[in-house]
Amino acid sequence: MKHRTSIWAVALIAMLAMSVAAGVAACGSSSSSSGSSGSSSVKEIKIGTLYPVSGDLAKLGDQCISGVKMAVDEINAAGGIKSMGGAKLVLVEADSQGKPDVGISEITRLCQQDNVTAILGTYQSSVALPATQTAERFQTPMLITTAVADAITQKGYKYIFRICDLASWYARDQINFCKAMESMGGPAVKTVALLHEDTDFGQSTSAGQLKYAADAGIKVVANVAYAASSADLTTQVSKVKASNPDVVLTTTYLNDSILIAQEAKTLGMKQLFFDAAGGTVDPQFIKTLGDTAENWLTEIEFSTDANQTSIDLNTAYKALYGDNMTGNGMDGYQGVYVLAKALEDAATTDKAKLRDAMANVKLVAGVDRVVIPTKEITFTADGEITDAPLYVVQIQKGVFQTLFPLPAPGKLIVP
Amino acid sequence: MNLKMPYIRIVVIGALICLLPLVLSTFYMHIAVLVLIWAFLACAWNIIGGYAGQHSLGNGLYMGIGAYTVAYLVNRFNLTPWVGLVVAIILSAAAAAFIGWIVFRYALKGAYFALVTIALTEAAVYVVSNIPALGGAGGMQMEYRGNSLAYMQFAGQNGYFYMGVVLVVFILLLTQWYKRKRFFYQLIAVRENEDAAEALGVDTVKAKIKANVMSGVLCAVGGVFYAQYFLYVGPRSVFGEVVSVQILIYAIVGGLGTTWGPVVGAVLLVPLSEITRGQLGNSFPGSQLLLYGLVMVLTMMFMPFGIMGLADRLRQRWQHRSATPLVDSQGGEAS
Amino acid sequence: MNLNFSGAVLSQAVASGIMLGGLFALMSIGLTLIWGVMKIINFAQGEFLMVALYLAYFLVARGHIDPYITIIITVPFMFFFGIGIFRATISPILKDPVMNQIMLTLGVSLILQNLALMLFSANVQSVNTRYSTWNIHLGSVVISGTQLIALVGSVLCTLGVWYFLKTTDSGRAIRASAQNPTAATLMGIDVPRTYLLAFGLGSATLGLAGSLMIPFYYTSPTVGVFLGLIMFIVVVLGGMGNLLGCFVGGLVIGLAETVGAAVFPGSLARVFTFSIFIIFLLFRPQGVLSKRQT
Repeated sequence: MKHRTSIWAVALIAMLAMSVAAGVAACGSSSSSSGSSGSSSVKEIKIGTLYPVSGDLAKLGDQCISGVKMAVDEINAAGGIKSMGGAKLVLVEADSQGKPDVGISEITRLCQQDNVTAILGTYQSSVALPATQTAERFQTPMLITTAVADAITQKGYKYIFRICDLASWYARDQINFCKAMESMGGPAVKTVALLHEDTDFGQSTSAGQLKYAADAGIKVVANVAYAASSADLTTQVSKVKASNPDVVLTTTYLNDSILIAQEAKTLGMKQLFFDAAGGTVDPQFIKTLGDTAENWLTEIEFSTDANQTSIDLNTAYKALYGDNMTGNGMDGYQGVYVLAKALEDAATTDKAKLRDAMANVKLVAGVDRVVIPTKEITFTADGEITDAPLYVVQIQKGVFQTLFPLPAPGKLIVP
Repeated sequence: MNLKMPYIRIVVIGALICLLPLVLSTFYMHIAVLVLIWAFLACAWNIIGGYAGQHSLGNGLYMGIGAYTVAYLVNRFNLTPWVGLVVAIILSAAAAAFIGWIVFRYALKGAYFALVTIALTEAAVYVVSNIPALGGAGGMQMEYRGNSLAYMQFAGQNGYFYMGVVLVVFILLLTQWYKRKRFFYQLIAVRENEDAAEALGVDTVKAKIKANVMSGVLCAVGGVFYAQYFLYVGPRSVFGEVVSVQILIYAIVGGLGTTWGPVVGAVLLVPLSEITRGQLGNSFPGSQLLLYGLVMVLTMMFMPFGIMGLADRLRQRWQHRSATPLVDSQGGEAS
Repeated sequence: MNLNFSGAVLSQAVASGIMLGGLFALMSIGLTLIWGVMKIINFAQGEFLMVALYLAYFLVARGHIDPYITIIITVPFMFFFGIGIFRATISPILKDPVMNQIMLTLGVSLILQNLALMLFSANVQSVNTRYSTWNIHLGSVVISGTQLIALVGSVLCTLGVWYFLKTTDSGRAIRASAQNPTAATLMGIDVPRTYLLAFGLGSATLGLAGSLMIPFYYTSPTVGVFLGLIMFIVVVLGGMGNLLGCFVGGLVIGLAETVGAAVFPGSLARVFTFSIFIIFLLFRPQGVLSKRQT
């Protein structure tokens, strides 16, 4: 009899604990949102963000959120959303930890608990795919700023939009540049070798490279994949060397891009390496490698020196965060402005109306804040940005020189 | 003492839990479903890890087999997950029997089993990432087909919640029933003293393989449930070390080798971690996992038999004082 | 899938594999030593290496110390770091079931990993030293000088630990405690102290590994996850607790990684490594060098 009662007690305590925990959470989240609200604002508009701020990709998630915060502060300082009486944007941040299931949990929290009006997110296609499915189910507009898998906007979702480039666009522009290389004083590119890491980033980009290279009549002489955590990539690099391509197209994360650059030099490879905006865009790449990084080509969504707009933007960003702005930061920054414009047009926080406003949004360079190198920002019926050109840059004397699209300030150097 | 009481208790608590959707909002229902998923997986792990005392650190392998089987069959052949469930059970049973046979046929035990299972579950991550038919590194997404029991999909959380309650009640009843059977007595004998068990005529290898299969199959069922709830499977989200460790944390904290321990652990830790991530995740990245680490270390140092073990101790001490002399049994829930 | 590889690629793969194997062996000595002595698998060993790598990184990048001179700091630091962790967490539960110890060290690894994330952010950190470009050419095969030093370090470390265990009093005490703690206690050996020493030693070898790796490797909060996994595989392959086996196990896995990469397309190389491991489990579960114990 005594046994029984105590087990009952434990079970009851467990249930109580859970309801207490739930209660604490409810209080906690409500107090935190009221705590972060603006002091004298009439209204506030809650925007959820979902980026990996912990885990392996925390640094990249950080870059995204930095751009987002900068834009939110600018918009609020300039008087908020005017059509809604100067309502301020308030961020509700969530951490995906780079895990799909956590992404789903956090979207649920943002939509159901914090009642956000829209969501900005997320890095990594593996998180974005299930996260967008969840956001669609909760009928909450979600603007993807940095997940590149083509499939995300091909599912027929109504509430999902994307302003960053597709994985295939990186591959497309790489091949376009290869075709133009001869006219820029480079080699006539007849063959390429692919060297890529094996998560969905590398797998989807290399699939695009294969497709566009075939279209352009360029032969792929080697297609080598590796795990990004590898301690040594000499074998993979020597395999690429043995295939003797005109150019090596890589898709990397940071530590493996450093290994590849070092080992290519060790093996005495003379070819140009052309990275699909992977580890090479991290400032750490140049900082760590010094001379070894020279002449590497890469793609960037944001060039710090292409025009006056980007120079000013980068200066402001650097003053805030101490680093140069990256494509991730720029896409986050631009995303907030696109969302703000849609809110301005919708003049309501009703999600269905905001969704319609997003679908018809139009930002014109010179009139609205447009930092993507394009004349105007609109969405296709799929919710995909109509056009977002990429820059091709080369590392020359430790800085990125913009080479492409033509005309561009820099000149190609062939070792 | 009434032998039926533990069963009645499980069913009654399960029925009471079913009232939760009346009071909880969508987000808390989501957390409740997560609690049920992890509680079920932890109970499944408890059979090999708790009762048989074999330290499997790779039960993510079976969970992954379950989740991937159902996702593949749904996406590729448009088969209902109920068929996938049957296939998943067969595949996971085969895998668990094979791994059990590799490891247990020699007198290699303890940490060896832990290392082998952890290596195998990590190997599965790399294998799956390299199979394009299984979605490669990007994983597989299943389409949402609306409310449909045939496709094991529900519009809101409540459907999944009731399914989870049924599963957890089922595994608790199963554990409780087996506890009175020869099989679990054998497992406990193996755990406490393998040589002695062998000497008494227990086929220890067979018992351990059987426990591994039972645990693996149930983990695969948990994996199917997981896949159906999230409608997404990825190599790292169902296979691998991180998931495998997460499964067993709840059982350890709740109390190894007890019927209710894994459930209590999940009920306490899952909401706690969801809340810390929401509240602290941005200012202190990694705080959720740090918390798990601290809980694990502190539990092992000060409460090595988990919450249920501690409750047991306290109860025994109390009974001891109120006259009946009682032999101290280790950690086992003596209900 | 085409198996395109040439002789040059294969010979390069073998050379790289031996270098890598030496490195893997060096990382794993501590783990096998700790297991051999007190039958504890330290699941935080990968994170210990992460700590050593961070220490070496900061000494080189911020302190501008030559990476090979940092050894005189990293090795003693890791020795006392290991002793500190052992004292605080492991020694109180030394008599508890193996499972509890595994769980405890797993908890320690989670704590270290996420503390590093909070303190140092998730940035991948590496240094460019003057040794980075130092290479040895043997025909078409190129060997990186820093990796060669790591291999030499690995051999010396294995021999050093072996010599220490064989000839010194403390070493004999450790072996006695490993074989039979009760008898060792009766012989007047302070078993808890020898455990402490062995754990410190196992941790100190990682200090050496950290200093030798930092010229050509990187560090990040999660670097220990993959390296820790490699350690487990190497130690199981070598026969748990077997020092020489650990070295051979390291070579097997190093060669499997690079030769696999040369022969197989895509990242199936990693699968190849695990397959080798499983094959060994099937036919020689007691390790490459150990005698069968049934």
